[in-house]
Amino acid sequence: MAVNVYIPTPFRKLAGNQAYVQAEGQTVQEVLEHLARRYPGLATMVFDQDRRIQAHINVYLNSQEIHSLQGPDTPVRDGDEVAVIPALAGGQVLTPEQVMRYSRHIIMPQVGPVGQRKLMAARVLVVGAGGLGGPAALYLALAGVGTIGIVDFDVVDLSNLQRQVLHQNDDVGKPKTQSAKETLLAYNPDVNVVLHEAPLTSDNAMDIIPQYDIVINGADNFTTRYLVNDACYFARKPLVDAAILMFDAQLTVFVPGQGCYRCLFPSPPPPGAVPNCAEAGVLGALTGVIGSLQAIEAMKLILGIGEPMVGRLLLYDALSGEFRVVKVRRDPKCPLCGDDPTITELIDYEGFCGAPFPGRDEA
Amino acid sequence: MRVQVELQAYLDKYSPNGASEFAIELPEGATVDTLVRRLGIPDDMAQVIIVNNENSDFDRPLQEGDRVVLIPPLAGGQ
Repeated sequence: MAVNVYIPTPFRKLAGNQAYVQAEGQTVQEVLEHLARRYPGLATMVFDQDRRIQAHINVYLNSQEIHSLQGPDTPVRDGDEVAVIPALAGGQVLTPEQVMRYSRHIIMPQVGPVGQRKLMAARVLVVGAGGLGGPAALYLALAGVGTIGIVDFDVVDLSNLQRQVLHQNDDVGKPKTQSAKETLLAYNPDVNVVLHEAPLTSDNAMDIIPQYDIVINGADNFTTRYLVNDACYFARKPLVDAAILMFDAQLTVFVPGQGCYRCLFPSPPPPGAVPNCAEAGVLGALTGVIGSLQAIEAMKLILGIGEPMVGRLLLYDALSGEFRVVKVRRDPKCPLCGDDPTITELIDYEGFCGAPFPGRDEA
Repeated sequence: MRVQVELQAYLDKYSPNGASEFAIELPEGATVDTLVRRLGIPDDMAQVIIVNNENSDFDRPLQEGDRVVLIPPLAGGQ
């Protein structure tokens, strides 16, 4: 039987920095022994000298603690998930307040206490603290996602307040990152909000993106979108991508190796050919719908549940009220993730898109 | 032959009758590229092409009754 084993953050260095590792066996004990053979560093963490699971390690099979099943001898089936959770000091065990706060999540078997701890251990980067990034970051914070990074260089403008839920009237003129942090912590002081107050560029992208598990794209220009796509591919990070304009929205998830933004949109439209939200407008509530969907997709990836929107493009037309999902695919000729790539490091995105990164000129 | 066309988002400005969905008559042997040029959509605008619910490309030959959806890139996020 092949099962997925969830490796919590403190143990990840011992397992090749992977959150999930495949292992085989007929029982939980056999699965963990197989894992220990492959990653000897983990063996001493999980087992004592007599090959018994250490007392301070809780093991869950599909979110159920194994002692409520048949202990280490609990049989496993193909596709099951085993989670190895150490009872470390420092918030690994849910406090009574956390159990209460997250109870509507924990009560669902697809989340459970193990899933809640995965959320609390997760690190998600939100590019842009605006229309999409705002609701995305908000729902991640409410869900207790442990570390939320925010990249933005802009200050809050009165014209943002028609849609950008992280910012309020008194925040006009404040850096968006700071306003975002205050709002997120006011909702949930349990999360860690990390601010990157600068435009994302080729110079800083590979310093910032590798610090996170998942990236949510809420950028408002093609130059940043191609940069985020390429940087996520090079850093091997899933990218929850979405874009909006007027009454239309698009959303998909790119997992490195399974297609990318360049497979969908090989080249940017000529500069000025596509209006942006500032020029053409955007329905405020549309940003809430799509940013929330981005939060959902990120949570599915963290929890390892459901079918992420990989290889599928969601199109939402608010005026007709229609959601449509079309299948999209990796392009073997893609210059980034294709069979014969020509882009092997970050490039000059301003030259490629014919448009500067926002902020450079205005800052 | 007649194909059914849907232009997503701001591409509807290339519609012959102003509507985002319409039927259009094309010569036998026409491809998606023929359609895109007939509508006058510039290169790099219609980049995701869906024919009969399948991801497709500009070279795809069209047939009577096909349903083509042309999807442009959007950039907005703020």
